[in-house]
Order: sequence, then structure tokens, then C-alpha cells
Amino acid sequence: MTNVDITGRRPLIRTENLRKVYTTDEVETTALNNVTVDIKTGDFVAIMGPSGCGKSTLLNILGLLDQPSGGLFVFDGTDVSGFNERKRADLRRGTLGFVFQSFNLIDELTVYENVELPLLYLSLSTKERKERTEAALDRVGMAHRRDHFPQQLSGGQQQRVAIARAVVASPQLILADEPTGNLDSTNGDEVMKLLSELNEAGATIVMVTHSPADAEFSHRVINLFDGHVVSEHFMEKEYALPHQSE
Amino acid sequence: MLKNYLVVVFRSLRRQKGYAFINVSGLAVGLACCILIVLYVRSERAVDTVFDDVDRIYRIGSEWRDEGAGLPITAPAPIGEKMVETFPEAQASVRLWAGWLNVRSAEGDVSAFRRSAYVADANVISFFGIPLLHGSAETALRQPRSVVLREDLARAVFGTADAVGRTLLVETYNNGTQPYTVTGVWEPLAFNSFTRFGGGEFALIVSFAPGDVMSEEEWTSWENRYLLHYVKLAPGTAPDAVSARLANFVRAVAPEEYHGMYEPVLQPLRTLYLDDEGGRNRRAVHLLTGLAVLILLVACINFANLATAQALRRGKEIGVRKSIGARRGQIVGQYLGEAVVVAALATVLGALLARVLQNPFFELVGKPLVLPNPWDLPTALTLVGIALATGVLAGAYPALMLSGFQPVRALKGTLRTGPASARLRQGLVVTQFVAAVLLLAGAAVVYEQTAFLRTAPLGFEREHVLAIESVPRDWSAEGVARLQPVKARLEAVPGVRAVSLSWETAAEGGHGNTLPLRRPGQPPEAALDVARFLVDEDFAEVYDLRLADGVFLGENDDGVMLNERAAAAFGIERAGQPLVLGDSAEVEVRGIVKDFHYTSLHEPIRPLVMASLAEVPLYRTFSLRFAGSDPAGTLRRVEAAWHEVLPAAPFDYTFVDEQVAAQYVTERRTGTVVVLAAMLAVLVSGLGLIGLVSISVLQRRREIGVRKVLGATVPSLVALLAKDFVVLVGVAFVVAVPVAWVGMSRWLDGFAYRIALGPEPFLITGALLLVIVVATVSTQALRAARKNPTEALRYE
Repeated sequence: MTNVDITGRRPLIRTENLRKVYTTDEVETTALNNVTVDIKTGDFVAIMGPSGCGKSTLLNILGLLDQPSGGLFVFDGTDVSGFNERKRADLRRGTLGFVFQSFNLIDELTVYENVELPLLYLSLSTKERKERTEAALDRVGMAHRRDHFPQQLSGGQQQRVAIARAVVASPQLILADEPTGNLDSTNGDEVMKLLSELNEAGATIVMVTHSPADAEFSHRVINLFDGHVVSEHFMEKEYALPHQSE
Repeated sequence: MLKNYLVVVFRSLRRQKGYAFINVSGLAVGLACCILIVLYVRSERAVDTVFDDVDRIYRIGSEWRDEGAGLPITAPAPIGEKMVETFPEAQASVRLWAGWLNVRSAEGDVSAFRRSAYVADANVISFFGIPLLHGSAETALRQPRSVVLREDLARAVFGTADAVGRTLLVETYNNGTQPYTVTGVWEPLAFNSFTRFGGGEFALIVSFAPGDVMSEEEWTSWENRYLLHYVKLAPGTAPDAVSARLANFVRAVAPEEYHGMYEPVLQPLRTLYLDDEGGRNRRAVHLLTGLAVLILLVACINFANLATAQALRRGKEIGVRKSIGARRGQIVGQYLGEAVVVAALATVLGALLARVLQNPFFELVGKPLVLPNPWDLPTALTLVGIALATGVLAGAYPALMLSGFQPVRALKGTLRTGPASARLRQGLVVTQFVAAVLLLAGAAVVYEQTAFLRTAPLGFEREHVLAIESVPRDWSAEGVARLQPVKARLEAVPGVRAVSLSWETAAEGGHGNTLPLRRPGQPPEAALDVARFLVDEDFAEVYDLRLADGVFLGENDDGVMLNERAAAAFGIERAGQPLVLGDSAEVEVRGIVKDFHYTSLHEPIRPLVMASLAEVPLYRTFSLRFAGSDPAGTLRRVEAAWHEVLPAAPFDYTFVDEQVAAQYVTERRTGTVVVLAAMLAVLVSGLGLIGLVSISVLQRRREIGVRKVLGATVPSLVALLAKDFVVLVGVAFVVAVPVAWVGMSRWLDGFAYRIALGPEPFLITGALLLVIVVATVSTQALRAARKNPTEALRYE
């Protein structure tokens, strides 16, 4: 793979001194402490670190599902750190795609309806929704299961449907939270290959993972510990990966 | 998008069949109940709407300074005519006398009928616009001795509805049997029409014929205060404009004795039915409306709680929708819409249920549904309104609560709610149980009072007394004399112990017949109008009246009997003292009877005077005391003897205990409805409780698991889960009891004689609720507590 900063890539995400503090009655817990990251279009970034280090918190903030307590968060040139829920919801719509560890498909909807869902919120025409949904299902190889319900699918199949749902609206950024965490290695590998293909086709991906094997698919690994970024590695330089505790 | 929402609603209902059933059926049952009550209320209010001018017609009622000087619903004979002469706004008036007539065909068939009748002015048909099937409204009653029949009576007497021109024999009160010409036949009107008055529904209207039922003098004189009058005001006239001038009007047109002691009152025809009889029907309408609101409230809260329980399981879906970019408003809209759809579903089911239960319900409340088309546009609009309102009310809470979750938290699956939301839910449960306590305690009190009314001692013997009310009338001393052989024949029937001829039975007095009485030496203005009984010498024996002093009236006695109240009112302690009757006639008090309830227990016992038929020959009723054994056989023998001595007279009878029971029909029906409503509310609340316990179990699954691992026993876990709900019911009980106490005290105040409100109804209610709650919670909690703890723990 080529180096970063290839011409034509523009910065998609920049955070400076991002902080997230959870406050309960008496205890203040700092989940993120002065986190600064840069992600450009076309990147495939893996965020790693031990349980409780703040990976998921970072991913949720990058995915506009949660609000930072302080610091700067610029998304595609706009400072979004002060956005309210409504603005964040508007920005999420069509711009971001999510892949979750537990798939999070809606049980009452068929495979097709689950994938179509983001397009409904974009108010596209029936025809366009149909074309894009079918294309997304084809891309993940699930077109033949379009009328099944999630419970009728294996975990790997469910995650492929979830990926189809994440990409169907052609988002600028795909966020994946332990996408293989609930899968066996064979299914996990397939899902990672799918994400890789999407990245090669131009999608920007940020993924949280525990798995060094999964991280191999990324361009860059950001290691978090105790809410700090402790290291950043570029995969093509074949850095030895630090040992991860479960 | 809408399709997507609907798909989710129906698929999730299908997946959670138990919830869906509880949720939809609970609301449907509540709504069915509401719909029936809406129909009932509309029916009760749809009074006389067949009459075009219903809103311009008023009954001329009366306010008398002295209670008993006249009835509140009747007025002196000339009042209507004078009103039309005096007030330009008064366009027309009609005067009616209400009573019973014995009639039969003049054409050979001798079956006689005793029916409620009006004697009326000739314009009565056109005044109201009574729909005639045959005959002309304008001319029908113009000639004396004309009669207009209700269709069913025409068929019964003549075998055809078209009886115009046929001759009906009417047993008059003063002129023997006379031929009347049928000049019209009307369609039966609704039960709550003005044609119903007192006990019966009118079956014939006859034109005034001087002397037949009353004299010309009685029909026109200020002395007759017992005629019904209706007046029609010009369109657009405010009744208050006329009412304000009525005091002066009396001074201008009425004899001096009326000045200051009498004032006419305009009573709108539209609300007569609701307001008459002390507003009993209106109270029933209010009570039922209150019940409907309570039941709907319980059902709504239930629905909201269950919808929340259901929605809490759908955190994942909300999280997903939010992560995809759904705005809060869209989520709120989705859940509200969902609630409205489910409420609409329940409304449709409720409407079907109401349709099925319509006839049994109206039988239960003892009134027919009079709306020509009950399932019309207003009902449909009410239904749509109820569905929307219920959906929005019930859906608002879960919608706002769920949409407010941070997507990150929502995505974690089962949602946990904060203390504020838990408090709100607890508040809803408390409200629901407050309603249940109110209904249950109310039902207990109504039941107790009704039982008291049925069985309270009345001061006379009501059992085994037969009242024959179709005694042929001939109101003269000779008429009374002619009935003596009849009385003797009835006394000779085996099984009959005693017979008395009188105007009324002991249970049904006080209907406006009064005598002005005063102590000797007092001026005539000081006279009290005292309710009057006209009886013969055997009345006390038949009804087992007790004497406080003196003796009962003898044969041809010119003295009077007083009850204890009357004796006290005149300051008389012993028999033998004189009273002045009317202007000058002095009468001697023969004896004092102990007070007895000659009116229903709604009213206090008032002063009463009893005079002999020998003095005033007005009678209506033979009362027969049966020996008690074989009443059916005795009745058969009495009927045979009756037909033997009076072949042309109908044999219409009631038993006096039935007359007494009939005085409390409204209370009995109210009681039944309240008991049913209470059962419904408890059922629906119980369903809701199941839903709530399952939320609680779901949310505390891990706690239950941990406790089991640490050695908690199943009973201790059940107690742990049940405790919270028992506390809530306790709070509801404490809140509801004072409200129920005040409400039921006020209801009881409507009775002059009532039970003392003790703690029993409330204790019973509390105990019953506690049993229901503990049983419901325990079954649910037991299931959770018996589960293998690892099942609960491995989810975390």
C-alpha cells in the first residue's frame, strides 16, 4: 500500500484534545483525555486497546452518537463538537454508516427492509430505494435471503446484512464497533474481507477491535490506553503489534 | 416510511402475542364499556326529539310556599290560558289531566283494559306534533268524547291499527260507561317521552267531556291544582325573559290566596325526563359518565404502561433508527402513531364488542335504546375521537421517554429507566388503583344501601298484600255502597284474611292529595296542607298499622287519624282532640297511627291525615291481605271471585312488596352497573399489573440472578418483587378512601333514610385488592424467581 497523504485525499475527521468525562453522583470518570486524531477520506483505521480504554467512547463520538465534554471535533470541515442532538441526527443521516458487534438488525423487519431503512429516512423515491437496496444486498452476497428475518440467519449472514445497511446510503464514513466480536473466525474473516473491499472501493472506515488479526486489514492502528492515544502504527511498515489483553 | 412503521407495529404485535392480547383486549373492553355508556347517555338525552318544537316547549310547573299545597309538576287549571293571554311570547298552551281509565270495545268483545290516559285540550296533537298513523291532528279531539289511541292499544281492542270511527266504551268516573269515538291512532313514542308520566306510559288521550272524568268547574277552576300544562314560546324567546315576569303575572291573574304562596316555573320539555323525580335520571347519567371516564382512564393508563413495557424491549430498534439519522421527532411520531394504530384496533374491537353487548346492556340498565340509529355519524366521530385521544394519551409517555434515550444507551438493548420515569409509572399505577378503589368501594356502598332499601322496616306490613287497582269508579256515596258486596265476596275467598278499599296503598301515598288542617282558634292562613289518605275501616288491619293512641277509624266515621308527625305538627298528644278542616268543619282526631313510610325512603316521613271514604268517596284500590300460605292459589281464587262479581272490570293487580321494590329500580340498576364497572376496572387494572410486574422482573433480572446465587429463596424473591406493588396499592388506597367516602356520603344524602357509612366497604375493598395484587404479582414473580440464575446473568 502507498503512503498517506496521497494527492486527492482530503481530511475527513480531525479531533484536537477531545475529552469525555462521565459524571455520576460522586465519581468523575475520564473516558477520553486529550485525544487528537486525523482521518482522511479513504482511510481504514483500527482503534485498539484494552477493555475500558475508551475505544468505544471515541467511536461513538466520531459517529456522532455521543457528545464530547471538551476539545475540538471537525467533521468534513465543520466543527461539530457543539452540535445538538437534532443536528447530529441530521448529519448522521446518509453521511455515516454503522456496523455493530451485535449486528443490531431490527427483528420485525426482513433483510430487505432492514437494508432499506436508512434510505427511508433520506426520503428517496421507491425506485431509487429498490435499486440501491438490491445493489447493496448483491455486494454483500445476501440478495438470495432478502425476504428472511434476522433470526433466520447465521451470525455471519446477519453481519453482512448489517454491512449492507451501513453502505446502502453511500456514507462518507463507516464506523464498525467490534464487527467480528460475535462471529467465529471463518465468518469473521469474511466480514473483514468485505470491509476491506469496501475500503478499496473508496469507503473510509474506522473500526474498533480487540483482534490483531482484524487490525491487519487496516492501514493504520491507533492504540488507546486509559483514555490517551499511546501510539499510532502504519500497517504496511509491519510494526509488531503490542500484546492485547482481553 | 409509514408502511415501514406499520409493518413494525403489526409484526411486533404478532411476535408478542401475550402482550398484544392484554394490551388490545384491555383497551377494547374499556372502550366497549365507554361506547355503551355514550350510547346510554345520548339515549337518555334524546328526549322528545321527535317533536319539532321540543326546544320551545315548557311544562308549567309550580313552586308552592307550603310543601304539600300542590305538586311541583302540576299547576292550577287556568294557568296556561292566562299565560297565553298575558305574554305575547307564549304562542299556545295545552292542559292535560293524567290518570287511569278502564276501556273496552263496544263491538261485542268484552275484554277490558286499564290504561294510563290523558284528558287533554283539543290542540294537544298539533301542539306537540304527535305523529298520527290515522286520523287528523287538527280535528281529532275537537268533539267531546273523542279518543286517540296508541297503536298497540288500538290493535288490542279492535284488532287493527286503523280504528278511526270505531267506538270505545270508557268507564267514566262520574257518568257511568260512555261511548267515545276513535278519531286517531298514534305511533308509540320513546320511553323517555313526555307521554310517560309517573308509573305508566300513556295509551290513550281523550277529549274533555264535562262530568265524565271531571266537571267543567274542575277543568277550569283555580281550585284544581293538579293539571299538567305545557306552553310553547315563540322562536328565539329566552325562557328567563318570561320567568322574570311570572310573580307579577300571578298577582295580576290569580285569586288572592295564590299571591305570595305560588309561582309558576317553566320547565324545559327537553330536560323534563332528566330532571323529574328529583333528578334521578340525571344523577344516573352523571354517575355513568363518571364511570365511563374512570374506566377509560384505567384502560388508558394500562395501555400506556403496557406500551412502555413493550417499548422498553425495543431499545435496539430505537438505537438503530437513531444511528441511521432518525430525528427525535420522527421517533416520537413513530411511537405515537403506533399507539394510535393499536388504539384504533382496540376501538374497532371495542365497537364490535359494544355492538354485541348493546342489547344485554340496555336490558341491564332497564331502559330501551331510543336512538333511531345509534351507530350514526356522531357515534362514529366519538369513536374516532376516543381512538385518537387514547392513542395520543397512552402513547405520549412511552414515545417521549424512549425517544429521549441517547442512541448509545438505546443500542445496548433492554433499556433501563431512571428514577423519574419509574416514579411516573408508579404514579400511573397509583392513579389506576385509585380508580379501582373508588369503583369497588362505591359498588360496596351502593350494594349495601340498595339492600337496606329493600329490607328496611317501613312501619307497615308489605308482604302478602295484593293491590287490585282496576276497581270500577263511581265516586259517590252510592258507588262506595255498591262496592260493599264486592268487598264481602273478596273477604270470603279462602286465604284472604282482610280486605280494605282505599285511594292508595300504604306504600304509594303522598301524591298531592292534601287537606288543609289547623287547630281550632288558629286563622285559616295558618292551615297546614297535610297529605291525605282516604281509607275504610279495615286499612289498619290489612297493613298492620300500629296505633300510638286512640282507635282506628270505624265504619262511616267522620273523624280523622293522624300520623305521629302530624300530631306533633299540631301539638296533639292524645286522641279525641278537635281540628278544623278547610274553612270551618270541625273534625275529631280518633287516633294517632305510628309513623310509616307511605313514600319511598328517598323522602322523610311527612305529616299525614287519614279520612274515611264515607266522608270523601274517592277510591281506586282494593288491598287484600293474604294468609301467607299458597299465595298463588289465593290469587287465582281472588281473580275468579272478581270476574264473578264484576264481569266487565279488568283485573289489574300488583303486590305491595313489588310496589316498594319498584321505588328503588333506579338504585338497583345503578348498583348493578357500578358493580360491573368495578369488576371491569379491577380486571383491566389486573391486566396492567401483569404488564408492570413483567417490566419490573425484566429490569431486575440480574438482581434476581445475583440474589439467587447468593442464596435467596424463591419465596423471599417473590416477597421482594411483590413488596413494591403492595406499597403502591396501599398508597392508592389511602388516596382513594377519603374521596370515596365524600362521594358516597353525598350519594347517600340523596336518601332520607340511609345506611351509616362505616369502615366495612373500605376494608372489604382493601382486602380484595390486596388479594388480587398479591396473586397477580406472585404468579409473575414466581416464574422469574424459579429461573436458573445463569440464564439471567449470562446476558450481562
